[in-house]
Order: sequence, then C-alpha cells, then structure tokens
Amino acid sequence: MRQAALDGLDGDLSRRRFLGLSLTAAALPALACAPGTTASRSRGAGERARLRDLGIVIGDLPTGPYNAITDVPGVRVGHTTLIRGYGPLVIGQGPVRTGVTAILPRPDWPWRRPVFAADLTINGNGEFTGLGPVRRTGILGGPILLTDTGSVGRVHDGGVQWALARDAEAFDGPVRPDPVVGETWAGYLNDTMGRHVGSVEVARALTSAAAGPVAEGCVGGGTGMRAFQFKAGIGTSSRLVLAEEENSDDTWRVGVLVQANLGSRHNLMINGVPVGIEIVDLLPEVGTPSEVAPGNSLLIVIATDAPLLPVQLQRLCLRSVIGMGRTGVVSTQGSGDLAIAFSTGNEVGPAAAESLQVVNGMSALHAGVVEATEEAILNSLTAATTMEGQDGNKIHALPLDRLTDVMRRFGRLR
Amino acid sequence: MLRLRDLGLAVGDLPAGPVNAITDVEGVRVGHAPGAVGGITVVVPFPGAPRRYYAGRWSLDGGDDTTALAMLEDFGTLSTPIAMAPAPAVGRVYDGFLDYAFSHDVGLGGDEGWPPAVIAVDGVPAPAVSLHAALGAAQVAAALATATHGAVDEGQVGVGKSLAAFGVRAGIGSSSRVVDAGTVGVLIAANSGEPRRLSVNGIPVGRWLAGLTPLPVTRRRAFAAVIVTDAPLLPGQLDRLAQRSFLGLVRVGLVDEVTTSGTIIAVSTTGLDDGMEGLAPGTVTARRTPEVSLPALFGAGADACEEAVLNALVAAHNQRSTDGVPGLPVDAFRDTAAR
Repeated sequence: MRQAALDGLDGDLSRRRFLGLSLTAAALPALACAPGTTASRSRGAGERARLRDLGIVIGDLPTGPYNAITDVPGVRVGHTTLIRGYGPLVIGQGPVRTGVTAILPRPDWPWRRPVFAADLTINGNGEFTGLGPVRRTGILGGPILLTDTGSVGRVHDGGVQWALARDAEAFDGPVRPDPVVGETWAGYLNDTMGRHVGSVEVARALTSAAAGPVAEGCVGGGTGMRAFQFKAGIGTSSRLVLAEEENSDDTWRVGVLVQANLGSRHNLMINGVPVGIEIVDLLPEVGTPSEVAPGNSLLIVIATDAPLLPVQLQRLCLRSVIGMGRTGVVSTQGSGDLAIAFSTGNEVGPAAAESLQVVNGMSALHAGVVEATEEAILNSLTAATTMEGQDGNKIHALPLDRLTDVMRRFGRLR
Repeated sequence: MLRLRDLGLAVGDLPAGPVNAITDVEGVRVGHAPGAVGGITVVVPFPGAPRRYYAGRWSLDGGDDTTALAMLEDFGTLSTPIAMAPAPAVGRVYDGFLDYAFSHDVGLGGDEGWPPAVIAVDGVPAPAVSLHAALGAAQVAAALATATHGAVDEGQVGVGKSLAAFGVRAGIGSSSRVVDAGTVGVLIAANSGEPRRLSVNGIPVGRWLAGLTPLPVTRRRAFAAVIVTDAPLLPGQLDRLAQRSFLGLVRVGLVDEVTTSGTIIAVSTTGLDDGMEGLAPGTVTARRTPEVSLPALFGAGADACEEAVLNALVAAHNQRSTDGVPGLPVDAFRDTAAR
C-alpha cells in the first residue's frame, strides 16, 4: 500500500515536505549514527559501468576522450560526497546522503575570466540562484554548484566565502561572482533539513575540481538522488561536432553534466526502448514509515568551446529539453528542471576584444546537446549504486545485466 | 522621523493610505534587522501563516541575484516573505529562512512555503567580507519577529543602512496610493541616482539645489523594491505593475543610464485564493482586475515609487551614517521643490 501511495505521489506531488516530517522525526530518540559509507548490497548493484560500455550507444556523434563535460578544454569538475549514518532521521545528525558538485568553466577564478552564459527554466519548482547577473550581462562570473534542496543557502554562502577568500574585492569588480547554486530534493534518503553541506564542503569541491574523468552516480550533489525510481545522481557525456564553417576541419566540443532526480519508472526509455515497462520491480523500499516522497527534478549544465553568444546558448538550453524528453520524462508540476549553458569560446571579461568570432550554423551543436543530455542522464543511472538512507528507505540501482537483456531483446545492443 | 509630507510636499494628486506606506495594504508587515555591518529588510505580504500568492517581476536588464526566480517566473507565485539583503549575504539570508522555518514556522520550509525569496541589493558600501559575515539567521529571525503593520521605519534602517542616492544618505522609503481598483504600496531600497537628475513633481530640484556631490563613479548604483496591492492581479498583470511603477523611479531621477541594476517584485494579496498548496491537483480561484482599471493602478504604483524614494532621502537626512555621506539639506530642498 505504501508503495502504491509513493507511486501516486511520485509524479506530481510533495517534493518538499521536509518540515512535516522533521518535527515527527525530531521527537524520536536520537540514535548514534555510525560513520561509514553505504555498501552496495542488493542484486544488480555490483559492478557498475557507463552506458556506452554496456554496448548502448546514444546517437551517432563521436564523444570526447572522457565522454564528459571536461572534454571541453578548461572545464573542471569537483565533488564533495557526504555519506554517514543509518537508521531513523535525526535532524542535524543524519543519515546524511548528500554533497556538492562544483563546475568551473575555466582554470581561473570565474569572476576574473568569465564566460558567456544563458539559462532556461523548464519547470520552475526548483532553484538556481545568481541568475540575475547572468541574464543582465550574459556573463557568468561565479562557480556553478549543485547540491540538495536544504543546503542551497549554505552552499551559496560557501561559494561567496570561497570567492572572498581568494579575492576580497571579488564583489567590487565589473563581473559578479554570485554563485549559481542549483538543487534537487534528496529528502527520501538524506537529512535534508540538517543542511549538511556548508562552506568546508563547497571549498573542498571547488579546490579539488579537475579536468579529466568525472565521477558519476552517488557523488557530490547527486549523492542522494534517484531517477525513474532507481538510484541516480550525477551523470555526464560529451560530443564532438564538426564546425560548420567552409574549408574548416575545426572540431567543437559540447559537454553536459546533469544532476538527475527525475521521472517515474514507467517513463524510462533508453535509446528508444521502453525499459521502464520491462523492468517493473526494484521499486524504492520504504523502511520506517515516512512522509517523504521521492524527488522529481533535473539540473542540466551545458558547456561548449564553440564561440557562442548568450542568445545562442539559450538555444542550446532549449535543445537539452529534447534530450531529456528522449528518456521518457514529461517535466511534472513538482519538478525543478533547470538548465544553464556556457561557452568558453571567447574571452568576455572587461579586457576582452570588442570584436568576437561567433558561430553561425548551429545544427551540429544542437544534435550534440540532445545526444549528450540523454546519455548524461542515463550514465547517472548506470553509475549509481543501491543506497539505503533515512528511516531505512532504500533505492535500488538499475540492474545492468537485466538492462542489457532488455536491450538485446529489442535489438538495440551493440 | 521626517517624511516628505512633513515638508509640505507630496507627489502627484492621488490620495495616500492612512500611514502612506506599503503596510496600508491590509495584512502587510515590514521588519528590519541590522547587522554589525549592513542589515536586511523583510516584507511579509500575507496575513498569518505562509501562503502562496501571485507575483510578478520587472528588472533593469536582469537585476541582481534573486532567489525563487524559477518559481516566480514559471508559476507566477511566491509563498514566503520577501527579504532584501546585500548581495554577498543572499545565501546566508536564504538559509536563515530555513532556520526560521525549523524554529517558528514549519510551513515556510514545506511545500507551501519553499523556496525563500531573497533579492540582492547591490552596491552596499561595505567590504563584502564584512557584509557576508554580519548577516544571516539572526537577522532573518529578528526581522520576521519584529515585522509590524502600521508606520514603516525609513532611511538608514534594515538593508537601507549606509545606502545613498543623489549624493546623499538614502536607504529605505515607503509610500502608498489608494485608487478605486485598490491600494498600492511600495517599499524601496534606494542606492542609485545622480544629483543632477533629482526631480520632484517634474521640478528639477537636483539642478537648482547647490551642494549635492555625485557619489564616486566606482560605486555601484542599484535599487530593489517590493510593491504590494490588494487589487486582484494575475502574474502577468503584476509583471506590468512592476514595470509601469518603475516609471516613477525614472521621473524622480533614481534611474538613469549609469544605474547598474535593479529589481522590482510586485505581488497581489487577493489574486490567488486558497493558495496554500500550490502544487496540489485540483483548481484554485484566480482573480483579475479588468484591463480598464489597470492604468489607475500603474499610476498609483509610479507615484508611490517616486514618493518612496523621496521619503528615503528625507528620513535619512539627520540619521547617522558611518561613511561620511552627507544628508539631504531638507530646508533648501523644500524651498527648491516648492518653487
């Protein structure tokens, strides 16, 4: 019964009842929360892989060397992951299943060497801070930080502290360092109201941000997330596209990183195959009765080295919705589905040249964004492991052996 | 505290409400809380428990950091008090709302309350490091706990602390107008404006009044305002009310080509009935004002904006300021504006 109720809620309702729950849980006796990490214990949650390594290939464009947002030169990603405690929710103690993921567009302080950027609200029951300056100037001068719902304020604060520690005059210059903080709801597994992500965690994610391979699944801001009622979290992918210029062999890179916390099981479509109606078991398990329903949101970060203006980056944001749609979701009433795109292809700071080369034909980039968004969402599923959290609530990993069986049956496995 | 009308001056011909402030709209409360540096101001647009209400926004270019933006623009609703804070403190004030939810007001953190709405006020002349450290949960709790109906403190209070406009001390100002379609109240944090542009009822006071020195060119010039009306307006109508009221800020000279940024959020206390569960299935009752009545509300908003700015200058004329910005010479100002 409880599961049926959850299924009903999943689509549209109650992303955030955290206080309704909190007061009940706060009355429970505090249990010692043993520190440690959640082991993967359930079936299908053993060896994880990236979607492509399973023989499931989205689209026909080639990926970059890491098949990650970091294939765009200069882009760096860092995670701080917090996993500790089991058992009943005790506000401020745990269980903790959260973190923060930091994305830096260039290997410089963002307010000193900013990028063009644009954003899109796909469904507005969510939060991206710092967008006023981005919309006013078309320029992003702060870090992008992805976390869980309760921690938005503290992560914003952490971003401000990080900037001010490096440059006390960061707020006085022509480019704003206001952090762009996005959130999705991890309350089903995580002590969201405990707001465990603070300035220390933010600084660690930003300082450890690096080029190269990106950890996916239950890491950073994605630690407590779930998608299609399987465990999910962070996913990334990239595409190489030929520059649409005459007599040019130039290649542009477009990378997408998502924090995936969206979709009901029956939605799930992988490379055109209705996996969600083929694998109907392994639904979330409720431990101690809990009023918290799963979340339902998607954060999309798009990076490219193609030289694009903000108005063109807005078009890339729109194309990411097509990639999102290919996974079967509809962006429901309770979703915070938000996208931001930036381009490293031009220097846009105060000292930048007055004349900019910008892309004219964008079709190949559109295709790259659609494919990379779809694959990034699916990579978050194939990377994530089964996780148990608050009140014994458990979310299963997508079983990879069964996934490949389904894909094979539909003739879609390479 | 001195106000424009105490000088025998008023903007326009429309009548103001009983206290000539945003709190003339029934149920609306305002609270200020200082920090060691800077401060915050909250407008509580609903009576009692948090509830969803229709909101619209207009910004100069794109404004400054504004939380709850996705909700405001996509759903046309907000559901928390609206806080104004210096830009570096936005995250801490946002987090302070959740602390307040936890200790006082459960609904603020749940489906019916989230997300917190915080508007940044840019250009507060204090080191960002200090502003950031000085403001947070304590100020949110204090501002909400002391938020009151009736007369509104103006000038160098709340987020208005150390703000300047037209080369003199400014800060918080408020005003209201009553027209057939409803009451319109404005509260502004004024931190922009060149002396030569200062204008009262079209009289170029700033050109004739000696002794006003422009602020340094390096200082950022910004404003943030909240407009509340009890006229039933839909979100799109509220976007228009915010935009049209902005014309009053242009008339008074607060905004010109060197203004850095600014944001106005307009809300209606009656547009959305039964808005407690904004995400729930079912229907709600939305109420609108007919097109023919909108111009009167727009005019009321513009006049109230203009007078709110002047109230900020007049209130701050004899208030303490830490950074040496002079106060408005009110006698010369009155004599010039009354010519």
